[in-house]
Amino acid sequence: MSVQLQIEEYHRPRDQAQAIEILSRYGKRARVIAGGTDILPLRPGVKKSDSIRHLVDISNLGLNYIKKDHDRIRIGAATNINTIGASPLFSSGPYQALSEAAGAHSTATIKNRATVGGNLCSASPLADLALPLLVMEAILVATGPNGEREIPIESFFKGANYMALDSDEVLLEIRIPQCPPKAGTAFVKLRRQQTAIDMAVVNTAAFLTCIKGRCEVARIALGAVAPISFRAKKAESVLAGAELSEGIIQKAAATAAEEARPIDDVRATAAYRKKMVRVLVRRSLENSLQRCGS
Amino acid sequence: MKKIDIRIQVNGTWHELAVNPGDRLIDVLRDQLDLTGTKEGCGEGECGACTVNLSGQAVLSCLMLAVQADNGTILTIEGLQKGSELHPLQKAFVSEAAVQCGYCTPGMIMAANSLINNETEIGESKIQQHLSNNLCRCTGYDRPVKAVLKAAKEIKRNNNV
Amino acid sequence: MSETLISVGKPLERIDGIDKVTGAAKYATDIKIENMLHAKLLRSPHAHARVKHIDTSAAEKLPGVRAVATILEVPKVIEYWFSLRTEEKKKQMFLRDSVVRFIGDPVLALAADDQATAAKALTLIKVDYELLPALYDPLEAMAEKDVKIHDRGNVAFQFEKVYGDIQQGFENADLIIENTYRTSKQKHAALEPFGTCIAHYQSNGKLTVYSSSQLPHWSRHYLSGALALPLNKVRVIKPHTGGSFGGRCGLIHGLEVMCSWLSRQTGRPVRMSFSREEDFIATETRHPMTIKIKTGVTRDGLLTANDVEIVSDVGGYGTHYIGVLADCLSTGVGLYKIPNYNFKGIAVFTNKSLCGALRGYGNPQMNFAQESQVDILAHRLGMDPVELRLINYRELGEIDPVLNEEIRSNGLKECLEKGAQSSGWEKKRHQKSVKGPVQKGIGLSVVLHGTGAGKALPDPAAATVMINADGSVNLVTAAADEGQGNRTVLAQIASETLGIEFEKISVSETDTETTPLDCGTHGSRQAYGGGLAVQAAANEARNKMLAYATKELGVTEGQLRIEDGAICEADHPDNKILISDLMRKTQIEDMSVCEQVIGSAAGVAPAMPGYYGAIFAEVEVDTETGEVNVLKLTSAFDVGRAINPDLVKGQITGGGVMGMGFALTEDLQVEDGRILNSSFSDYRLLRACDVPEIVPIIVESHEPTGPYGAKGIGEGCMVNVASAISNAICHATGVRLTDLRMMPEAILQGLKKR
Repeated sequence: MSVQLQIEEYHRPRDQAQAIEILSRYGKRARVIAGGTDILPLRPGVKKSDSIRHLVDISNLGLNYIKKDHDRIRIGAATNINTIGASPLFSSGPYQALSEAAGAHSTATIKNRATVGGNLCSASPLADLALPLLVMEAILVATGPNGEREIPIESFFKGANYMALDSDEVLLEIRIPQCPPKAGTAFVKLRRQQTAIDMAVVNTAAFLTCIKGRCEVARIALGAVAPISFRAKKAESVLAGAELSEGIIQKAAATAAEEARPIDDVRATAAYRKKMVRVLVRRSLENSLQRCGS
Repeated sequence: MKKIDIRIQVNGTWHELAVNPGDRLIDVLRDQLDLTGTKEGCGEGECGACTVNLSGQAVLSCLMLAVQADNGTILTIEGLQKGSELHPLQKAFVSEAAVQCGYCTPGMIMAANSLINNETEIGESKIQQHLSNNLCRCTGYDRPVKAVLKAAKEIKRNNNV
Repeated sequence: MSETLISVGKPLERIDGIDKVTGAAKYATDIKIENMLHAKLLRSPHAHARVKHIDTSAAEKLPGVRAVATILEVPKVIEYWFSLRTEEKKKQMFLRDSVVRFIGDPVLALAADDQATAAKALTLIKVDYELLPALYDPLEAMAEKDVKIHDRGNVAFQFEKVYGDIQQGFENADLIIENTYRTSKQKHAALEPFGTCIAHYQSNGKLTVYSSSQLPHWSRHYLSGALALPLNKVRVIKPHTGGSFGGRCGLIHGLEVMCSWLSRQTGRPVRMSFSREEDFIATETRHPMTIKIKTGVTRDGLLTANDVEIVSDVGGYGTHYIGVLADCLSTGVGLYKIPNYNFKGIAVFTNKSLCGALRGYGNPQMNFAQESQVDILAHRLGMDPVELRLINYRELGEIDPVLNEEIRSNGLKECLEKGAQSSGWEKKRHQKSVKGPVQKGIGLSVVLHGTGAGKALPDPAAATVMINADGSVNLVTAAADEGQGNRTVLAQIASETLGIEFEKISVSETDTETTPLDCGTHGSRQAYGGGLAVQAAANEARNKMLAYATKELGVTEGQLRIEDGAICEADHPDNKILISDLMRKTQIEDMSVCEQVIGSAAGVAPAMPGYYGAIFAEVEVDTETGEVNVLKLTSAFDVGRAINPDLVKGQITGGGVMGMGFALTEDLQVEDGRILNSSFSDYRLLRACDVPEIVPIIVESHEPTGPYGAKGIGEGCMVNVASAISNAICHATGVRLTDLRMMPEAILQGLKKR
């Protein structure tokens, strides 16, 4: 049966320091909340930490922003998904995969409240925004009792619903290093059929730069097919430096499918997911290639 | 458990309430303020029957704690009409036969209200997108979408006058 | 009578629309009564067990806990209203034992001052279960002799029916195909979860129950039996309902009886409200079926034989398993004139959640099998699927062999013709396949569904029409509006019959205290059966009005006409009296009369007319992922007469979407008796961004026994969506799917085989 959250205290820290102090005080009994759309659903069967008694609201700590610096883009952890989806910085050009992922994340109503930080900190292997950020090699900035630290996104996801932050740390910002302007990125999500908005059965993102049809840099991220979202490094190495023919793309896609370790669950079987990795990676590479150099 | 004092404006009236930290916004609206027009259909944010407007944006009141709405401006279905004059959305849902069992209707209307207030160009596809958190088991969605389109046009006309 | 209609056939605004768009409409979940206690059920974690001992001592010590009632004292309702017919059968309806038969089956109910206390108290209860072997597969349960889910064994019901000579039928066939089809456990998933109840047992011995029942009068009977109360001491009030689709046909398992029991114990009103999760795991679902079907046809397209064997999975309890199987027989046999038809149906208990009535009853399952077969045969014969239907459907004037009734209206041909034309069937059927992974197809299927239950089930209908002193009208009916708008339709019928404008008709609340015995809303029968009662009651009232008018105007009744709110002499229209003036006079002004005009009628509908439909489904299939995307449904339905075309179209469109769900996205997945997807996140309903264009086409064949020619629509419109989609998928890809719900993997496997 589903468990209702038994909250004893709701904290609204006035600044980051106070937030950290409260988190330190209550340890595993406390959790950060921004929008709350991931914490609050009374979803049966999904493990909700029975021990959470304190919520620490970070939605008013000035963490809702998108800022373009000369060599990177910075997104505040409490930035709403719909803000990311509507931003002209991402709607075309090399960051397009991020816009696509924001669009596919969920419904307009949820996205009014849901945040990019929430999506990442859930550390669900289905998290849509994790994938473009993985291929863009984003850096996550967190703060805690020992001050700020930077975590490359690839090290952020440790296991299913388990990520690199300590219980007394707060995610502050996502830093996306400047993508080469001619890079092509794409995000593709497979859902259950006839269902336009849904959790992913398989999702994927790709990043390509190329010179005259030859691949310079290739990055592929896979979701929903392992305990964490991850980079398919073997598939990437198939592409690195290669002529980007249909054949090589197919080979990379097939390699990515081999790297996937999906499971059977209510949404799909492992066998189907493995097959679909191949299809989706191929499609996301084709889309990236099309956008490459334009 | 320590109660928290909050102030929320609901349908134009400020309320000072003492709430439990774990009380959801929907619980406060339906149980403390007796505004039962907002419905609970699932408790997990999937069905949208609990949709209200917070600062003019559609939000799911079952996915918000009341304390998160502190100092906020909330509009529920009961607050849409002006006296006995129905809002164009309410009129259109009736005239377009977009209401059957009616359980999804308040949530759907509030989602549509947010769309109309926040966007300038409103077409069928955008309406379908914005109503996608509102499950309906009865209508098949075509008439609700038509009703929203009709209301949007009427509001635009009224604003241009 | 004047041919200008004032209400019938008009898309009038529904009478409860404004209440619903303003939030004023109160549903069971919105009702609050002073001094209310809150109850919760403790549900079995085991699929099959005997409750040996329950220790509630710790729970009862918790401050605020007021009462506990267990399944050891409180009876469960295990049969439907067919069993009310005799005292003997009525006793069999109630089961009281210590056995739980599915995960989620209630063990006890506990009432406390608030929900949190009730929830906490449940955690303090200790139950000793003796685990019993659980049976999940109906074939296994059928064969099993030692493990009995119910005392009488695991076979709930079985029957066979033979028409003609099946051997001969197959010998006459030039082509015979045999397949097995499987259908899934679909859930109603109404927006208002099943179920919420407030029961108030007062010290004067009167029980009042607020609950959204489709059949309030039968709910009253069930409660009367369960609590040993005379009917006049039981009142069932049905508030606005957030959809039912067959799932509230009576009482909800563990809800109203338990609430009433607790109220009687405490003397206070008791409220229980299931969560969405409880709705998913512990209230009725559709019967999953395995249908083995062998069909024979001549090379000219004449269906000669159909041999059908159905195993229906009832779950731990069922109240509708007889009706559902019978529906498979009647809808299958009734549609086509196949002279040799064998039907064998067996309904089997298993230790999974209980099954009951869900829109379409047994027809969606049967139709999927039969219409797939017919489509395969059309393809193998190289014949247009429309043509094959036209050759074989049972026509106007024929006798339906199951109902033993003449078919008095049949618009199937017109449905096919209009649907084919509107959808562009011819052109799309012969379209060349395109290059690329996405392939398009168009498929067709037809349906017959029955209006009401005829004389197979007690199906009383009744209404009272009261004309007020100002000429306005109060219509009293127990019709249960679940959202489809039947109370609006009944008001339209009353308006038309009386000659009084629709806006002047008010319809009573659905309350057994003040409304006469009417079966309620099921089997697509409210407009038809209920409508006939309203029409008869209104006619009686009309005649009384006219009788008064003859005196006023000095003419005979035959010379009168009702027009524009007045009764006038047909040949001299200036000789008239306003209805409002006449009624004021006869009800108040003339103190020697003082008689309100009241018309009443009660009885059963004379027939069970079939209503027909044809759906043309257009799909595209992504052959790389196996995904199906429905592009368009063209749904033509013969409803006899559309009393309110907007409401009819609402059913066709809404039913179309529910049918798509049954076909493509909905099924409760059960593993070792446990439902794995008990929430909307994993039981997927279609959303606004998922639905294609659905074109509803109304065909009117004018059923002579129906009120103004009307018959039903509510269920048939969802029944054959799955078969139409499956046939379209086959057209697009050549892959024939036999299992619902249709899965992308099945399409990929099918493509691989080709």
